[in-house]
Amino acid sequence: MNNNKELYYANEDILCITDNVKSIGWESIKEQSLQRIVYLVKVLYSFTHLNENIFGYYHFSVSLYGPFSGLIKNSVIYLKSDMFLLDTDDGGVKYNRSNSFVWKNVEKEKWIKTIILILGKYGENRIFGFTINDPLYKEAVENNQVRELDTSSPENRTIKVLNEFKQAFEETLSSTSFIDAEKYLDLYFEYIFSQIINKNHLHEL
Amino acid sequence: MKEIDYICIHLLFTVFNKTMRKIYLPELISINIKNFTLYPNGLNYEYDFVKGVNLIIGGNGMGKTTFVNIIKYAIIGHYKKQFDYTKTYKDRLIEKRILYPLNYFKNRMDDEFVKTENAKVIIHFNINQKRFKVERDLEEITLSSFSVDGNIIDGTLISQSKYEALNENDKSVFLQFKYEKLIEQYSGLLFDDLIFFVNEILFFGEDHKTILWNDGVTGSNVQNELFNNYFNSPELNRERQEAQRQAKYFDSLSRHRSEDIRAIRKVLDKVSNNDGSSDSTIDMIKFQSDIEDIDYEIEKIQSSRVSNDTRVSLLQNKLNELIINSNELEIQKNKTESELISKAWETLHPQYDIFAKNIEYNHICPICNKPNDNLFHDLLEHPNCCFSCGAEIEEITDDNLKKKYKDISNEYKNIHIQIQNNQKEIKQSDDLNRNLDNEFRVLDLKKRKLQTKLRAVEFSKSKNNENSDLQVFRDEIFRLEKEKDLNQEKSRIELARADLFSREIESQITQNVSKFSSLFSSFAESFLGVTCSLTFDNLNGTSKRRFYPVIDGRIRFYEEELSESQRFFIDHSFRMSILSFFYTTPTFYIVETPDSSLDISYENNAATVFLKFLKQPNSLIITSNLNNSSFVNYIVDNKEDICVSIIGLLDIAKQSVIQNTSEILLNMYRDIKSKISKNNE
Repeated sequence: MNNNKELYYANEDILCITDNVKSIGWESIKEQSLQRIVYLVKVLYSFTHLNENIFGYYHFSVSLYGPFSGLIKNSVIYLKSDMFLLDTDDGGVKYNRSNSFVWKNVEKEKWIKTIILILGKYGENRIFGFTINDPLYKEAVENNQVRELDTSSPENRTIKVLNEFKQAFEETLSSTSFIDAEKYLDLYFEYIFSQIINKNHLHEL
Repeated sequence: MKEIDYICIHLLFTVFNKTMRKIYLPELISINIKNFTLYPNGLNYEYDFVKGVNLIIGGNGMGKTTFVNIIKYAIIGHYKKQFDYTKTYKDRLIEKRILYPLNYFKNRMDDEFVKTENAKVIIHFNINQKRFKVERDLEEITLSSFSVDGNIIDGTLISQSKYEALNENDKSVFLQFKYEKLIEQYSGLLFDDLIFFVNEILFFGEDHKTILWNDGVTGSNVQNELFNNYFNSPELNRERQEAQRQAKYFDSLSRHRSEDIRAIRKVLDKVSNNDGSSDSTIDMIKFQSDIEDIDYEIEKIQSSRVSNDTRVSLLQNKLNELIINSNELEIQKNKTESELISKAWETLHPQYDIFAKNIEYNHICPICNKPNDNLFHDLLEHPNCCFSCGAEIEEITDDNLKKKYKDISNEYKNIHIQIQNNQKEIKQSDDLNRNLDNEFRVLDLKKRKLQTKLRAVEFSKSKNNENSDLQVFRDEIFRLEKEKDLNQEKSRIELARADLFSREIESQITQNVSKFSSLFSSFAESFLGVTCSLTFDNLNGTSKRRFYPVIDGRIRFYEEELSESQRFFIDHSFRMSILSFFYTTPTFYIVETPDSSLDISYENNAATVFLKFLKQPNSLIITSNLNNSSFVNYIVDNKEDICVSIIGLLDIAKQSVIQNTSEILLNMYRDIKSKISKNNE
């Protein structure tokens, strides 16, 4: 197996997500939701961090149920096999608290927590609606794209659309220089959902 | 780019950002060929086109290709291409149309026969319900007369070659000009566009030139011309082309300056080699030249990096697809397993199933968490044996179930082997990328060092106020470099402008991809019997998107990746999708010898594809030498009630040629003819 390093990175991320969704009141999580959350984690990371994407090892494709990365599936299998994750009755998985693990990457953890907080704040459906209506994803579906979704490049469609809103959003802030990326994203989503989605502009996203 | 440019472009988008164009292509009604001695038994040959299949049947040398060329000539004239570029000494481009050899029809005629008048063709066709009657001389290559809805149009006659030599302003009195204008008025197409459609899309000739794969390296980039022009307003494309042309022009100017600089450097190199002296001016020029060489190397590495990235991206997607497929297969496998060995599971470790998956997907031993490929292969080879000790989990007695289980297990195994191979390929590509990155780093370091040296020399030179004899060369290089940079910048600005237009055009196309692709699928799948679609993407390292066929889950970048007949029918499917997509009124599609490369198992499929196209009223014109009678018979016997009619060259060709034709061919021809006349009754 050649990509064990990537598998271990993914394991950390998945555990971090399954551990943290408890903070927004989720008892378990379905694999499909994991796929979408990681997709958001990756694509939004490019938005606030223009350089390298630290989640670059995920490669997403268009599938019937939304973005899909094989690495996430493999990781869930591994974590279930090692009993870090347990199956739940509703068809999801939950973090097995009797199995301890040490989180190593502070930056990734911080970012995942931010995304989960946004998820909690705006509700799963709205955020997932965002994933499915994501311009990058939509464009790939429309063009019958047969390569992976270009989530890392700042040239991708989602980032472009988000950047168009970014300018308007920044005008509502007195200064962006004191805000860190996480807080920025939080405020930004607040802005998007209050200003844009409420005005039925969802089709543009 | 200046803000004002953005505003202008934005305005243009608002004005032109309309949906695709509505176009009306010719609907063939009838043709009358007179005094054309290649067909001596039909010196006044008349034929009414049917909506359905028009079969041109004849042996070798009987004039099948000539017949379809007469049809094309009758409509658009003797034009081979709507435009071509010629460069003048000032690097300006001139556009002009290209003609076929003027004696083409004359040379196909037979001198044995006496005739009193020139050979000519008279064609009737409709464009958007307007009836055109057009008469052309086959020997002088001239439009002799034409009428629209019975109204004869006046104008001075002129041969096509003379017409093409005229200035634009002098053309308006000629009949040819009036014909073009009326065609434009009713078709919604420029006459040049009609030439393009008839030559490139409505006609699949004997040279079997495909258009789906042609990216313009040789021949026409039909995709480019078609989709930029017709899914959008043509003005948008004109603006894009203009920006591209400007970009090219400035780029060539900048390259010329580069050449000049190189020439001066060569001279200086020689000077320094000859007198052995070291001059700081020469050093500086040498460093600059080395830096430029490194830049060239870096550019090469970057372009390999881009194409390798595309490859990885496709592989990653394929990997995800395979894993999704294996997911579905796994559900089936588990179901069969539970039917077969339901009791065995009771004795298995409750985690056995997930352990096995961990081995299959991650190649990891679930007990010690170490990578292990042997476990993976063992489990795939013997799915009914314990991965740990190899003991059989339960003996299977039901033979049917056993077979089903074996089949599913095999399929499952294949998919996992594919996953493994795919991962290997990704690994190789990643390694290649790492090597390229290393090469890049080495070159970049070298470049930095040279830049430091250069600055040092520059600094000491300015400090010493050294005035070299060669200073005049250096000044010249400096001046040329400035000009080069300026032109490069201008070229970059124009390219950015062109890019903006391209993106707008692409977003218009994107809105239509799924409809277009599904049309393509329905044609292509009828022929190949596997899933076919079109992807609209930029996969060749350039920023421009184009359509690529995806056959059976794989992108076919090159036509050579398909067999000859597959490639032709994929191209037919592509063209017929275009015609179906833009369908407003009936039109025609000419295919020369479509049956030439078919093996017996594909004959029926091939006929089905064409019959599918004819579900909308259209005229399909097919030439055949009856090499492959079952294809033709399938068309003639079709159950779809699609009309078939014959243009029997065997009846009108020269007697001696007919007499030389084999009895087998003649009998086949008679059979088909009688079958068609019976069907028509």
